[in-house]
Amino acid sequence: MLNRKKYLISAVVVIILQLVIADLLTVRLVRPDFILIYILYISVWEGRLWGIIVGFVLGLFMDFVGVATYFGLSSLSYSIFAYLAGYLHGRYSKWPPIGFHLYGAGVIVIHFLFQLLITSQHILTSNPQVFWARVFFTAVYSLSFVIITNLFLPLGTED
Amino acid sequence: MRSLYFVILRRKDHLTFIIAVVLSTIILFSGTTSEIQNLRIKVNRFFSFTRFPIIWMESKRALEGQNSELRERNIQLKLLLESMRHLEEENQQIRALLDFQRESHFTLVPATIHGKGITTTLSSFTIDVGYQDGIDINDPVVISEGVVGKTVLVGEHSSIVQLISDPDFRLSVRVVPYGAVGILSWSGNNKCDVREVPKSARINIGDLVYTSSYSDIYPPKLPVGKVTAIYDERGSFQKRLTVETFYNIGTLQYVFVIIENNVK
Repeated sequence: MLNRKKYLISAVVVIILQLVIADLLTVRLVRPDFILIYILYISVWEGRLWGIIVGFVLGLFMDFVGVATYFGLSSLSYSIFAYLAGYLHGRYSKWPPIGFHLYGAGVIVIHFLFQLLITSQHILTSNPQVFWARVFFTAVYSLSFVIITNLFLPLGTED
Repeated sequence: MRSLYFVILRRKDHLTFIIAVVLSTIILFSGTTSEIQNLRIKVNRFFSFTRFPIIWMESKRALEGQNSELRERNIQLKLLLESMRHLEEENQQIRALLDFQRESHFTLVPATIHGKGITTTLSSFTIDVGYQDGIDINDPVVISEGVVGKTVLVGEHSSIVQLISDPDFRLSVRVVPYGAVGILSWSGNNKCDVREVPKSARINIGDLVYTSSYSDIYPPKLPVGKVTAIYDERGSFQKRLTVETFYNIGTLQYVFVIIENNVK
């Protein structure tokens, strides 16, 4: 069962991290997505159901505080992300570690690809190289923070 | 009924996913109502306090650099002032002779950036001025180096600015000196694409790009950037230009909102 108090406190910490620290880590207007990392952990540790609920709520929050356009996109993309990431729940001991981590990385790439396909369609049609470079850079930047977090707090520990 | 309950219970994660997707899609396609917009303004205003330490640190660092730069410029300007005084007198005499009307300028409202959102790409920010300060929706937001964006949501004492880096942002621009007109959109890394430029238009690398006179929002002749690349696409009747802005959008701290345009 979800430890509500623990997750609520960590959600507040993650939101503060995203609001304060992410801006300091901006590289070429791209920031790390700590909320995505949080949803990944919730989905893997607690399963799809909680992942989708947390993803939807935090996505809606992000849309409120963040972007000027595409209101509702973050809740949609985080819900899809949580659904896909939730497949890893309870599979760390069953899958080979490389497969487990590659699936997680793939889901992160899919998340950014989905978001950028909607927000930056014109770049894909006009300059595909720039578009794919943006998908790659945005995904890799957040992925590097997942790797760092995973060193201290392995995704497979809840199995 | 009982079996349906068990199906729902067994498939609750799939069901939650479908509900979340449907709800998000409805929100995405229904657009934002004025109630939601007001709520967003309030939420943004509330969370702007989290940026206070960063604003303070950035301001302190920027002020130190600006201070030494300003001291140097102060001396240069003092020298310029003397020669300009003489020129002003001469200018007034000539204006009087030609019966020119004095040119009005924009009415600008200075603003501090309070929040830069939390999305992975920087496409909007919150400023500390709202309708109490005379700001309205679709007011141009600028700095001395060029166009930054426009206001999209306006609250009592804060507003959300859609930045030039938002993938949805479009701007009608004119390339000088030859006057070709095109539509500008962001392409990343302080660079923009200009499309719809006729193939016959004469454009060179380094040409300056300004706002055109076709926009209902932006006054003409506001600087935007300079041309860094020209693409003559085969089979197309149009050219594509790459324009680099004169500033780094990620390092902005202060902006100006044009609330009145009196340029004749």
